[in-house]
Parts: sequence; structure tokens; C-alpha cells
Amino acid sequence: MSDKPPLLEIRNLKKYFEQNSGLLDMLLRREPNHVQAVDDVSLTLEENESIAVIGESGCGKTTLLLTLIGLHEMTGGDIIYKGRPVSEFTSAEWKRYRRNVQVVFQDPFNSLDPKMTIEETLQEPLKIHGIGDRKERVRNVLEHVELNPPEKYLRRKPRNLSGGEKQRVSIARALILEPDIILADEPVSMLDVSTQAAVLRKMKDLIEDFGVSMIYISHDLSTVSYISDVVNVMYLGRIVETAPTDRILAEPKHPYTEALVSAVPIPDPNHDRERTRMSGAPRDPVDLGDGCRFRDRCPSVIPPDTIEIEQEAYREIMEFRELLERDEIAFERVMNTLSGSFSDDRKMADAIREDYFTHELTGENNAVLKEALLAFVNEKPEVATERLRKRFESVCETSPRTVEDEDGWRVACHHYDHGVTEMQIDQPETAQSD
Amino acid sequence: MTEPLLEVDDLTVQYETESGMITAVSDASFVINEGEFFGLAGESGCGKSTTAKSIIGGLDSNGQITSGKIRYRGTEIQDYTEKQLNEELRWKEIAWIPQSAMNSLDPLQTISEQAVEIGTVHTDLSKAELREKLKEMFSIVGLQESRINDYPHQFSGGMQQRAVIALALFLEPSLIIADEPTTALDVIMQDQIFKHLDEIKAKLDTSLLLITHDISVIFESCETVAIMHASQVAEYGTVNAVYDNPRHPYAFMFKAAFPDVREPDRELEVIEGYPPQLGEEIGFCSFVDRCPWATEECRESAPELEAVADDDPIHVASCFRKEEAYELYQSERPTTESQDGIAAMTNEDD
Amino acid sequence: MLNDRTTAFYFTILMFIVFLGIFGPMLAPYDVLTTHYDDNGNIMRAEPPSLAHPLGTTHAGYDVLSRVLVGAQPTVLTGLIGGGMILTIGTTIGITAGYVGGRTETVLMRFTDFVYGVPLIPFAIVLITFMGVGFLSSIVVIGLILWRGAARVIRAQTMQVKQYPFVKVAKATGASTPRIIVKHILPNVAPMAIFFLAMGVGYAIVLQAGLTFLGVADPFVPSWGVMIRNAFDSGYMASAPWWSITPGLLIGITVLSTFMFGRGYEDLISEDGASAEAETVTA
Repeated sequence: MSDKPPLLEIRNLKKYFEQNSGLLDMLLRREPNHVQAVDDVSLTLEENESIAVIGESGCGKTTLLLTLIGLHEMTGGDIIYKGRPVSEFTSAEWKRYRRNVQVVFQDPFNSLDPKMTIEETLQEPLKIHGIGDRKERVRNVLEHVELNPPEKYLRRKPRNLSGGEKQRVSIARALILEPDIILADEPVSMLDVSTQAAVLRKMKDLIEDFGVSMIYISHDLSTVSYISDVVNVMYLGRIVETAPTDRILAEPKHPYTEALVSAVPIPDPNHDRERTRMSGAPRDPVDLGDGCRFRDRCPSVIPPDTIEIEQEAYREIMEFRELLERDEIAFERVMNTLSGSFSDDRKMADAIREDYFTHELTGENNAVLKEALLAFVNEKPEVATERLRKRFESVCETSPRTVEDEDGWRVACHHYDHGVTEMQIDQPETAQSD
Repeated sequence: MTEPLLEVDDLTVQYETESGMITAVSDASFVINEGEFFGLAGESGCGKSTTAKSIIGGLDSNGQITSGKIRYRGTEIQDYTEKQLNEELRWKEIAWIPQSAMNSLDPLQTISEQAVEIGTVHTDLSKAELREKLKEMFSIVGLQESRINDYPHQFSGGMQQRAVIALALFLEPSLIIADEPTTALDVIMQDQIFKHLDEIKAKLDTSLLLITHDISVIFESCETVAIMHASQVAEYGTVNAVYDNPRHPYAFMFKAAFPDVREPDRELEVIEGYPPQLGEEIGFCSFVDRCPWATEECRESAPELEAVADDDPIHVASCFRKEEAYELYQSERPTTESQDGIAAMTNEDD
Repeated sequence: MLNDRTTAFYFTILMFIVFLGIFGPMLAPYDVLTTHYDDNGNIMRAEPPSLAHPLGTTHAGYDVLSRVLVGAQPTVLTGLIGGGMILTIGTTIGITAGYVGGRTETVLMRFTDFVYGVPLIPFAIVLITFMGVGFLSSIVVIGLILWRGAARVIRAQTMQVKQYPFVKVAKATGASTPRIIVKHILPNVAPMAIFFLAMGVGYAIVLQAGLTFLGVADPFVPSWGVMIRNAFDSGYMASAPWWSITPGLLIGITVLSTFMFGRGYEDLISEDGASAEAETVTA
């Protein structure tokens, strides 16, 4: 193993997009916003292995895939294919890479050119790479994806195929070049359940029969569990947890993975699953800055060990600080609920507190929040920010390292990162990795 | 229980197309009681959306109810005019949550403006009262009350869906009809929304007609379920009855086609073939070509929905071999026996 | 939807019009510039159809039928050249801008916007001073201006097709840009291109007639457009409908047939799969 490099290695891959800046931004010489779609992602794909990348929509998983097939340029990091970095590829190497890495997209209805027959569609990759025996190869691959007899399908156009048949053709097209790697982007999510199972099963067989490796991208843990050995959980551009599928389902470590696993519906009325504790949605991946990406929704953010505070109350303060730092406190809106009296600072501060906070605070915590709100209504938001930061700053506001245990289980969460902090006393059952 | 909230009785809906009449729903019957969540499951094209649309007069212009009755609180509503539906039922009594929230909100009006517009048409409440009600509903679905004055584009996709749910609920309808309300959402957001629906049921005794292809959501959230195949109800009953004691091959194969995170290694069921073309009348079991246990009898005539057991009056299935099909199925699947066995055993324990 | 039969029908009409374009002058019963007189020696001004003049006469006493037959040739040429230019320039610019994007797109689309701002008639007058008055140059002028609408729409379509996964797959498999354009983009924008060809044919015929009467084209080539224009200018449009109706109908039929045949042909080449499906359903 050690002398042979992995099939595909992704090292600290970054893909940022510059958000379209308007004319006004240009005139004011504002820095363009950066969408951090993929931020520092590292993965390894071994031969004949199937790994999954899962996450909610907008987490950057599709961008990752498009970057991997060379449709986006990397912003940073590298992709190493059989020991050769993609950034140093010659055009011959690119050609080889494009032949050996194939993709299956989610949408069966737009994945095939409506103007081409199935035969033309399947011959196209062979023509591009100058491969002969085309008729024979097309027949064979159609048989492999169980479109039998092939003659029945060759002359058809995609619109005369069902969704499942279309997706089989997409898989056939990916297979016909006999690739090493197939990248699949939710290939069954738009299919009916009766066909979904058949296509999933087919893909599973193909991995085994053809010795293909696969990166399977999805938001659906239940299908992922069926097809992949290892799961990478992605949240806002970063991989937060990597572990073998069965283990991650049984004992997720990262709070986000835990939320994801616990939200999957169980098809069994006798099973009593608790509904998710999460609220809200992931924020936009624009200029995210430092810190754990999940901290604004995390049900177990870590408060500084110098203070004593309830988790729920602490979360509110975290959220408020976040808004404060982004200058997004809806001051005017809150003031509109107040009839008249704009002179009374205390009243204004109370109004804001009522709008943004539901939990009671006590002692020093309460005093600090009061002070900060007064500073805020006195138009000194820097003072408010600083005051709150000093008392309530969490270790989660620094980016967690990825720690790995003996089994290759990798987590990026401060609850598991002993080197940085000693604060995981609250989480007794989770202190495992070191 | 007293009178059921909604009764659908032998409903048949047909569409007129260029190639003749198409029967989209054929003799469908089910009952929704107050405070009950009812799930309607099936593949695309099985007639589940058409069934729901026919209840609130939402059929396309070429579609019509050709026979059967729909009773809402005992009153027949299948022949209601647009005017009657608007004045007596829509929003106030029966609310509709469409698949795509983005298309059902007016981008040029704030949510509260849209709510006031709906409210003044359908109730006698004042603007202030309507806004108060909307605020209340916003907090139930987990949106900030002050955001009722926002425009739809100020919300994210998941928030828009929740805003639509709040709009559907704020006049406190007795029945919500939701057509794949969470299919476009991620699992966490889906779970958040069902959490809210659970809360609303607990608080307001609201009923739900949930249309989805995702049977796991139904098994989790509903009390009763109907599984449709090729325009017909294949099996209908409480979720527990249909799960523990399924009778129609389509029902248990459909169920087994779903992956379950608890059993990542289980072989998924594949239902081969396609339902028959929906024509005038089908004189045989519509599942016969896909059914591994079909016999000659199944081709000669169409099975009727019949009670499965004497002690459970609502559990019905339309299969000639409903007595033995599930046993045959279980005995033929050695690969999954261990897991199914464990599941069955734990079920018995419950 | 269109089927084989209707497509064949429109094809026959198109062939008939092309046939008129080639053999029309030979079939004409009279010379187009012969003024006809009645028995009393009066000029037959705008006479209604009769046995000798089945489509009537014009206000100058010319035979309408002969003019229609002779006029077919310039009309067909106008349509083919004008429509062809609109199609070629519009599609080339539209697809290039839409597919390549970036700076190329900006330049091409600003140029298109510029052409949108160019008024047709003054431009024609200026251009004709360089190219000389003539039948052909009047058509070229039309072609050089009217591609602008096609370019815009085809660019938009290209951008849409470009987003489809099948184009991404082709790119990821290593297909070159020209290959993607020829294999995937062109076939998918073809319906729109055919629409613009049909419209272009009609526009070119009608506009060319308009230019003729500004003196920037040759008025002695009696195309159908020119006939309608003549009828209108003579003031006999209402009182002698037979003069303008036939050429008007023929222009309409030409445009319609081009369009319908194009659409039908599209369907026809997609048809093979549908019949295959019918087989499986019965199987």
C-alpha cells in the first residue's frame, strides 16, 4: 500500500467564487465578496472504494464534484490522481484524466441530449477518445446496465425512455470508457422508489464487478448507507466528519452529523424517533471568516469555562453577537414596535432584548448583556461587540482542527480537539479521540 | 369518534385527452378524522395528487369527478362551484400546501399583505386581527413574528416553505392538504417542518392529508395510510396495520424498496415493470404484470377492496391472494430474513 | 403534433414555390410589361378576373397572373438569400456569444445592440451608395441588419442549453468546444433557428418590396412584395383586391410552409424513437 499512491487524493482543495459586484461596489472600490463554496477539503479515494460526500443543499458538495471533473478551476490546494497533481497536468494527462474520471448527474431528464439517439450518446465518448469497436462496446455496456435487448434501445431518443432507463443510460455512458472513478451526484434522487432501488443496486454491483471507485454525492443518508463504505459529512464548504458508514450512522460524533442522522425518517411506525432539535438553515457561504462553520446552529456550542450559562441562553447570545458583528441588527424595525419615546435608552435596549432574547440571564452575564445593549443603542456598537466578546467568546469561534483516531475516524469539532482546549467536561460520552 | 372530517367514497376522476378518456383515480375511498394525519403514497402518476386536487376543486379543466362522493363534515362537496368552494371551504376549512412554495407566494407583496388579502376574502376578521393570527402562526412554524412584513425573497427556501405553511394554517383550517410539502427540502428542514405540524396537531386538532412518494415520512408522521397503484387504492389502513400486516404485494414491496438507515446492508426491493396504461376500465388486477405471485385469477377480473381481518374494520386491500401473499413473500426472501425477523420480533414486543 | 403527412404536404408546397421560381417565367401567358386593351381600345385598368386574365389586371393594364408567375423567381431568391443571411449571421453570433461567454460575449452582444440601433432605411440608402442600386444589394442590406433578433434569442437559448448536464458531461469527457457546439448546441437551438429562417424569409420578401419604392432597389423586378407595394401605392388596393391578394397569399404560404416544414422535419427526425416505444408497449 505504502509504495502505491492512492487513486485520487484531494489536498486542502479550495474553490471560491467572487460574487458579482455591482457598479456601485466598483465605484466605491469595495472588496468583492467571496463565496467559499469549497474550503480546505481533503479526501482520499483508494482503488475499488466507494466513498460518499453528504450535506445539505448549498454545502458545496456539487461544487466539489464540478471542480473534481475540471469544470471549475481550483482556487487553492490540489487534486492528485495516481500520484500526479492535476495542477501540473499536460494536455495528454488531462485527456487521460477525462477518460478515467466519469460523472453521473442527478437529473435524468436533462442528462441526455434530447436530439441524440441512445447509440449516438453512447458512441460520443468513444469518438472523443478515438476508440474503435464502437458498436460492440455500446451493446455490451447496455447489457451491463440491464437495458435488454440493446437493439431495442439503440435507436431511441431519451424522451422515449422512463426516468430509470435514462439514468441507466447515463451510467452506461459513464462506464463505456472503462473509467477508474465515477463521480455520482445524487443519481437516484429524482427517480421513483421502485426504480430507485434497481438503479442503486446496479451501481453497487458495478463498483464490485468493474473495480470502479466512486465518489457518491447526496443529501440522503439512507441511500448513501446503501452504496458507500465511508461517509464524509460536509457543512458549508468543509468536511466536518469522516468515518465508515455503519459507524457514522450508529454513533455520529460531530453535532452536525448527529443532527443529520437523527433527522432521517425511519420507515417504521413502531419506531419512535425524536424530531430534530435544530432550527434555521445554514447561512450563505459568503465571507465566513474564522471559526467552526456550524456554531450558529450547533446545539452544543462550548461556552468559556469561566462562566456558567444554559446552552439555549448561550446560543441566543452567540446569534446576537453574530448579527452585531455583521451589522445586521434590525434596529429600526425594533424601534417601530416602540411607540414614540426614542429618548429613553433603557427602553430601547429593553425592546431589542425582547426581540432577540427569550431566555433569562442572571448575575454577571445579565449585567454584561445589559451594558452591551445600552452601548449599542448609544450608537457605540464596537463597545457592545467588544464587551460581549470578552465575556462570551467561545472556542468555537476558532476553526477546529481535524483530529483522527486509530480507526481513521476524523472529526473537526472542538469537543474532540484536546490539544486546543480542555472544555469537553460537559460532554462526557464523547471524549474518545486523542 | 363522531362524524369523520372528510370522507372520500368511491371517487373516480377522469381526464379527457386527445387519445381518449383517462381514469386517473378509480373508486378511491378513505376517511380522515379530526386530528388525524393521513398519508397517500404511491409512484408518480398513480393518481395521488389528482385525488387531493379533486377535493378542493383544483382539477385541471379537462378533468372531472365522474362518480363517487366527497363529504366534508357530512356535507357533499364534490359538486361545489368555485364560488361555494371559495366562500365555504378554501383556506378557512381546507388549506392547501403546494409542492413548491416559491411559486405560490406573490413576490410583490409582503407575507402579511398576502395574508390580509386571503383573510378578508374568507373571513370577517379585521386587518389587525388577521395580522395577529399570522404572527401567532409564524411563531409556531419557527419564524420570527416581526418578519411577517417581509417580502418572500427575504426568506430562504426553507423559510419560504414554512411561510407558506404559516399562511395555510393561520385561518386555523380543520384540514391541511399537503402535496409533497418537503420533497424539495433537506432532511433536517423536513424534520423541522414536521415538528411544527406535530405541534399544530397537538394544539389545534388539525387534520392532514399528506401526499408523498416517501413512505418513511408517512410511517413516521401519519396515523392512517393509503397506498395507490395505477389509479386505485391497493391497501388502506392504520400505519401500524399496513406496516406489520401488509396484504397487497405492492404495499409490502413498495415498503421494502425504501432504504432504512437502521439496516444499511438490507437488499432493496425492486418492483419490476410499469403500471398499465390508464384507459377506460381495467378488467384485471392492475398490479398483475409486476406481481411475482399473480395467478390466472388475477388476470380474469379486478379484485375489490375487502376487509383484511374481522377485528380491524378499516384495514382493506385489493388482492385476491391477500391471505397468503405476505407469507409467501417472507418465505421467499432468505437474504433479508434475519433483519426482517429482528424487526418483526421487536414489533411484536411493542 | 405534426405527422409525416402534414410535413410532406408543406414540403410539396415549398417545392411548388421553388418550381414557380424556376419555371414561372416560361409559364406566363403574357409579357409582364404588356398593357392590355379591351375591345373598345381602352386600357384594361384594374379589371376583375376574366377568362383571358384569370387573376385580373393591374391599374396599368398588366396581366396579374403573368406578373405573379414571373415574380416568383425574384421572390424565391429574396427569401433564400435574405433568410439565409439572417440565419447564418444570427446563429453564428448568437451561439458564439452564448457558448464562449466572457469578453467575446460582451463584444458580440454590444455589437448586436449597436445594430439594433441602426435604422434600416437610412442604412440601406447609405450602403446602396457604395454597392450601387440593384436587386441583390437590396437583399444583402436586409440580411446585414435583420440577423440581430435571431442573434439575441439564439444566444439566450445557447446559454440555456449550455447549462444542461449533458453539455457538462461532454466537457468532462473531454469534448472540444467546436465538437460540443456542432453535436449538442446546434441541434438543440435548431428549432429556434428554423423559426428565424421562416420569419427571415417573410421579412426579406416584404422589406425588399419596401426598399424598392425608396428607389434603393430595382423596381422593374416584379417580385410579389413589389406587386403588393404597387397595388398599395396605386390606390387600387381596396377596389382591385385581386391584384394584391394572390401575391399576399403566396408570401404567407411561403413563410408558413417554411416554418411548418422546418418544425415537421424536426419532429420527423425525432420520430423513430416514438415508434420503437409503441412496439414495447404492445410487446
